[in-house]
Amino acid sequence: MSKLSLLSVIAILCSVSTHAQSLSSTSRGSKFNPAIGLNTLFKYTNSSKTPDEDGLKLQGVELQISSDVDAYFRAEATIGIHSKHEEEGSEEHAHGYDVEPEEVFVETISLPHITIKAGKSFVNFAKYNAVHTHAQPFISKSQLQTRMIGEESLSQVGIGASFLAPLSWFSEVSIQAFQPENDDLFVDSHHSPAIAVKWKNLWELSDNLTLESGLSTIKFHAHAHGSDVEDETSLLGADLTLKWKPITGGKYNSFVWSSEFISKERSGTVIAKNSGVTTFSRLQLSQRLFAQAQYEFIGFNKSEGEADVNSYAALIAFNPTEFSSLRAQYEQTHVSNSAVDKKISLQLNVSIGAHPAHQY
Amino acid sequence: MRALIFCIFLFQTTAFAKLNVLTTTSNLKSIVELIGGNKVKVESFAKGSQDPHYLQAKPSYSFKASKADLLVSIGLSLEDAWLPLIVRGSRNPKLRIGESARLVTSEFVDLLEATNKQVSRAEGDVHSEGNPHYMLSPRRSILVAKAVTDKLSSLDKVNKKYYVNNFNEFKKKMIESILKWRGLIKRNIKVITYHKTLTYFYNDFDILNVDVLEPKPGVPPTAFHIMKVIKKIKLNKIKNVLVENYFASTIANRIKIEVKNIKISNVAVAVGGKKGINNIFDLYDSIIQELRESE
Repeated sequence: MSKLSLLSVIAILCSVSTHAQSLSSTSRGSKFNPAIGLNTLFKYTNSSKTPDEDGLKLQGVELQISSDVDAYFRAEATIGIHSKHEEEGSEEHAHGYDVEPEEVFVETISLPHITIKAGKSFVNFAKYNAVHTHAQPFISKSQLQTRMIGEESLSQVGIGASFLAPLSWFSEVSIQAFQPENDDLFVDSHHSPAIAVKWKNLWELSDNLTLESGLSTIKFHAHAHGSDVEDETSLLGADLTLKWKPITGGKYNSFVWSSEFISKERSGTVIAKNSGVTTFSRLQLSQRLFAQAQYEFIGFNKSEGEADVNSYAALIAFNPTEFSSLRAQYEQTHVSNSAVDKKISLQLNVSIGAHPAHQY
Repeated sequence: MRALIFCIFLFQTTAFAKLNVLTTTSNLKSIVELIGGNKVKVESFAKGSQDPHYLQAKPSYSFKASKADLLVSIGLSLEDAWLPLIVRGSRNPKLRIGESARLVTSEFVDLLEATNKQVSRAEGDVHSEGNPHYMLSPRRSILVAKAVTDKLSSLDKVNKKYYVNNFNEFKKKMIESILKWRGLIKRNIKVITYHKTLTYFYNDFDILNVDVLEPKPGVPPTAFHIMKVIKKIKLNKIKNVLVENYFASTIANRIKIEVKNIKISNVAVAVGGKKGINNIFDLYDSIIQELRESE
């Protein structure tokens, strides 16, 4: 199925390209072609606990296409190719690749003060859920994100709006209603949307220093299909990030400290709760060299039977340009009553074509 | 009667309200300040010591842009890595390219190093539409100032005469200054620079930029390339290496070990890049001074 999907996507892209070329004579040349970029992640892993996942892998590919539709809308699509995991007995193993739309949405560009977005997009929850894989701060997603939200970021079909609050600093509020389709978080229900709200603030403490805070929540409740039981899912996220980049010499020195807390609670047919925190820092050593360290703990306010998780990671990155990076990471994850998982990862991240700026 | 008084008050308030202008670089900010005078309030995203290629799109910039009446940018892909995100985040549709509150000044100047041939990132950070550092050209600063004058006049018709008067004064002073600067430095002096930031300045004053320390635009100097540059320095008897103020002088200082009498100048290329450089005239003055000291 994955090969068929891959062939289908290639066929669609070729036909789109051909169609675009035939349209170009009526749409006044290539100036109206969308911006197209490709991000590719190659990874090598050596771990003590999951040797089946070890070795050289294509970690993922992201094809990003964006353009103004007309005077009113802008459209963006990110097609992701990731390893497909299949269950074999009690374990999951990687088998081939999946092709899926990570994000396909339109947003308004002509409305003053507000942006309305509709389509499939990352839910604006927590600090890093809406960050594409290639832009994540570490080679692998944090334990907090993986255990609270899932292996993949939460991307759902819905509609949302965001606006700048009338305050004297940057303060952005976003509200989304989406069709929940994630078995790890929501029961199957087609008639009850989930609601996500995020409030993000950023203060310029000086020309060199910014402080960012975020508060977000996802709320969902419904009756599971064919059931009288009321199911509820509640996620809460809080994050704080301090960034220092001097206006003189900032090309060579910078420092980031970022922390995040996420809690999750489910009741009804599925009962589960857990909370955790992650904190990391990044120090720029020279123009192209960076060092990072991270600590995570998951196990606050947890359901009975849930294990405590302590995770440590250290990473060094060399970025030849803004279009390529080489990263080496060592991590240790201690899950109570289990052997320690020690992992070394190497990653090559390359980007070709047009690439939109990353969020700050 | 009360309604009439209110309308008069509103008119007066509107007439005295300053235009809120944002620029992407401090050189553009200086031009807007000199033309706009006390009718504008101007702020630049990039400060004088920052490399505008690599500014981070802070959300606070979007907040400032949400209240802007005009956004002035360089163009030629200089700000592509960060400005579109700021404009989208501002939810201020007037600031989009082509709209009434957006001025891209590259559209009004003659450009150097524009090419129709296919380019790729293998050649480094190349701008095929043209070298974007045209604000380092005193002659072209007059063209930019004219564009700013026309835009301010179209947004604020009441003060058009004021802006035009300021432009005429600016143009007169810049022409006089160019003549003065031409008299202060010799033609055809040879220099080395870190990046191709001063191309337009050299073009205005017939200065020969024999080589740059970057092997390719945006790529940090390599030992092999530095050795080649040192050979050219010795062959051409070059006396000055100019390093733009947002680069470290470390590499250039290593050249001094090989060429003892070479002068390494840390040169501001944007207003505010050094103390005492408070406007575009100060900036050009300071570069002329650095070149004079190496003759």
